[in-house]
Amino acid sequence: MDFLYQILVVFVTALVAENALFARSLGAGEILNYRRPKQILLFSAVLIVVTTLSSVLTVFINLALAEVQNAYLFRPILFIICITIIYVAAYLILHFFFPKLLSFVGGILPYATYNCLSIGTLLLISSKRLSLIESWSFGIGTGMGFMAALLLVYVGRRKLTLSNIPKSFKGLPITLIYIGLLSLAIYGLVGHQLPS
Amino acid sequence: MKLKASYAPHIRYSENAQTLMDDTVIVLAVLYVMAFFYYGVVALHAGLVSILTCYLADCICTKLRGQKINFRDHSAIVTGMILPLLMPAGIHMVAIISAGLFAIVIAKQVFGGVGQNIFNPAAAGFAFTALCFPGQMFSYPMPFDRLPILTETASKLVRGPAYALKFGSIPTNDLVDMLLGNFAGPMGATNILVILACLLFLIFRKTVRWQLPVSFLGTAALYAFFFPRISLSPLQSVAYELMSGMVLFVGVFVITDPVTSPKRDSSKLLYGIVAGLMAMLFRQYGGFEDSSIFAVLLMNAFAPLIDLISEYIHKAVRKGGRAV
Amino acid sequence: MKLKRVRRYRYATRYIRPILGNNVVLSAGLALPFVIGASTSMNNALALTIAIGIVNIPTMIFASLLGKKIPQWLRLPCYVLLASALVVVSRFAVSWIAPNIFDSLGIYLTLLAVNTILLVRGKQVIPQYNFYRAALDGVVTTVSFGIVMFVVSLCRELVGNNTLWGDAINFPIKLPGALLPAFGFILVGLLAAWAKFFRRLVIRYNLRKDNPPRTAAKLPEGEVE
Repeated sequence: MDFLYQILVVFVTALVAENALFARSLGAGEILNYRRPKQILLFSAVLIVVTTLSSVLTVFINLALAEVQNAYLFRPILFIICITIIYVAAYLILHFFFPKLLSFVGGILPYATYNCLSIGTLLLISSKRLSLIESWSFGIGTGMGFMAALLLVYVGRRKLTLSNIPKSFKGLPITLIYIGLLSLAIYGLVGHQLPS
Repeated sequence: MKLKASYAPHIRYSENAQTLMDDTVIVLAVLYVMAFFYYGVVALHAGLVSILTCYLADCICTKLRGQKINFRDHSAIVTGMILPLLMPAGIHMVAIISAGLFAIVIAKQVFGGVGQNIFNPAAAGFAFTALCFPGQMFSYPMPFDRLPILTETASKLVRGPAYALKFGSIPTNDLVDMLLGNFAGPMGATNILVILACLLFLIFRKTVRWQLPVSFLGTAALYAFFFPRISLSPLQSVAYELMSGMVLFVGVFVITDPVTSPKRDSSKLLYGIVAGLMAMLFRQYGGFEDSSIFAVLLMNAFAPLIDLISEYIHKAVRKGGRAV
Repeated sequence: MKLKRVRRYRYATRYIRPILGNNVVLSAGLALPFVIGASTSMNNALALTIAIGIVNIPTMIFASLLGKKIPQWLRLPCYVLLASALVVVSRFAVSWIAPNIFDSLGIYLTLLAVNTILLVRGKQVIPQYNFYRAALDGVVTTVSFGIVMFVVSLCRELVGNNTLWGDAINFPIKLPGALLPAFGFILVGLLAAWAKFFRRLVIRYNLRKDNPPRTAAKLPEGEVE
C-alpha cells in the first residue's frame, strides 16, 4: 500500500507540481504547433509511449554507468542513442507491419521523439535517482501532464480567437502570456520553486 | 406622449452590465466601511489608490488601442475595490499599485478588454503580487491597530488562523470574534457576517447565480467536515476552515465573476465543486497557507473546456430526447 | 499598390532578417524553453549562447552537406546525434564562465542537443542551402537567440536578484518572483508583442512611403475614387 502510494505521489508530482510545461517550460516549442484535437491526441500518445519506454531503459543505463568516472559526459550521448533506437525501432515496425498507421503518424513521429520533453524526462529521472517503477510512473506522468497542458492551451486559444486582442498580441504573444498566467496559478498552488 | 431619453439598446429589462457592477460596488463599499472600522484610514487609502490605478490604467489602455472610453463601464472599479480587500492592511503601496497594473493591463486589456478576459483580473493581480512579495502578503496586523498611511512602521504582524491550521494546531480565536471580524486576516475577508449578508443580497438581486458560491463553499464545507485537519468536532472544523483565510471572500466575489465563469447553470455547479475541492486540497498539501484564489485562477482556464463539454452533452441530450 | 520599396527592403535584409525582423525566438517561437526557463542570470545567457553556437553551426553545415541524400525519416536522428556529441564539447567550452555554472544551468545545457532551432530549420530549410549559406544561417540564428537571451536575463537578474554577472548592485526594486518561469513566460510574451509591433511598424513605413493613404482631398485632378 505504501508502495502504491509512493508511485501515486510521483505520478501526481510529475502531472501537477512539476508539470513539464508550466514549471520548467520544457515543451514550449511543441505546444504552439499542434492546433487540432486530433493532432494533439496523436502527439501526446506518441510522446507518452516514448517517455515511458525510454524512462525504463534509462534506469538500466544509469545502473551501467554507476561506477564509471565522468559519467555526466557520456550520459547525454547514451540517452540520445537510447531514444534513437526506440525511434528507429518504432519506424521500422510501423513501416513493415502497419503502413497505414505510418501515414498518420509519420510526420509527427520525429518531432514527438526528439523534443525537450523526452530528453528532459530522462535527465530528471537520472538526477532524482528514481527506481524502476517510480521512473515509469514519472514518465507517464510527464506525458499526461503535457497532454493536459496541450488541451488547456487548445481550449484557451479557441476562446481567444473570438476576442478582440490588440494586433501586436495576436498569435504567439498572447499564447505565451496565457501559459504564463496558468504557470502563475500552478506556482501559487504548489508554492515553491523547483530546482532545475 | 411620454418620451424618455435613455441610451441604446432600449431594453426594458432592469438588469444590465452596469447594474451588475454597481451592485457589487455597493456591497464592496460596505466591506470597506467595516475595514475602516477595524484598521482606520489605511483601508480607505489603499482602496482609493487601487481604484485610481485600475481605472486610469483601463482608460489609458483603451485609448492606446484606439477605442472610445466607455464611462458607463465600472468593471475596473470593481477590480480596484477587490484587490486591497485581499491584502493585509497597511501593505506597501507598491504592492497594491503593481497588482492593479498587472490585473488591468495584462490580465484584462491584453486579452481583449471588458467581457473578453479569460482570467479574473483580481485573481491574476493578487497572484502576481503574491509571487513578487511572498513574505508580505500573508502577514496581517492585528485589528484596531491604527497604522499611519504614508510612513513605514514596525507594527506587530501576525499570521492568520489559516497558518495555524496548516501546521495542525487549533487557531486561538474565539468563534464569535471570528464572526464579527475581530481577528488578523486580509482586510476585507475577516468580516464573516457582513460577507454572508452581502452574499444574500447579491443572490436576491440576481447579480450572481446561486450555483457558484453555494457549490464552492458547500464543497469546501463538506471537505472540512469529512477530512478535518484539527481534532475538534467536525462542525467546528468546518467553521474554522471556512472562516480562516479568504475562502468566503473568494467564494462570494472572485469566483462569481460573470465573464470568467462557465455559462450554463449546470456547468457552474461543476466548476464550483472542482474549484472548492482544489482549494481545500492545496490548502492542506500546497505551499501557501490559503490557495483558494490560485485555485480559482486555475479553474478560470478550465471554464472554456467545461463550456465545450457541456454544450456537447446538452446537444446530445436534446437530440436524444427528440429521437425518443 | 506600389510594392517595389517593400520588396527591395525584404530582399536587402534577407540574410539578417532572423535577427530582428523575424526573430527566431520571438516571432517563430523556436528554442523557447531556454529563453524562458534558463534565463535567470547573465552567466546562463552567455553560456547558453556560446553553447548553442557550438552545437548549431557545425550541425547546420553537416546538414547542408548531407542535403537530401538521407531519407526523410533519418535526417533528425543524424542531426541530433551529432548535436549531442557537440554538447559534450560545449560543456568544456562553457566551464570557464563561472564556478557553479552547471548548477544553475541544470538540465538545459544537455537539452541543447534537441533545440528546435536545429530541428525545425535543419529539417525544412537547410538541406536546400549550400555550405556558406548554412553557416551564415547558423551564425545569424545564434546571434538572434543571444540577443533575446541577454535582454531577458538582464531584466530578470536585475529585478529578481539585484545582481549583474553575479556581482550585487544597488537596484531599488527586488522581486524574488522574477526568477520563476511564470514571469519568464509573461516577459517573453510582452517582448514577442513588441517584436511584432516593431516589424509591422517597419513594413508599414516602407509601404506608406510609396502608397500614402488616399482621401478625397488628396486625389489628383481627374482621378475618380
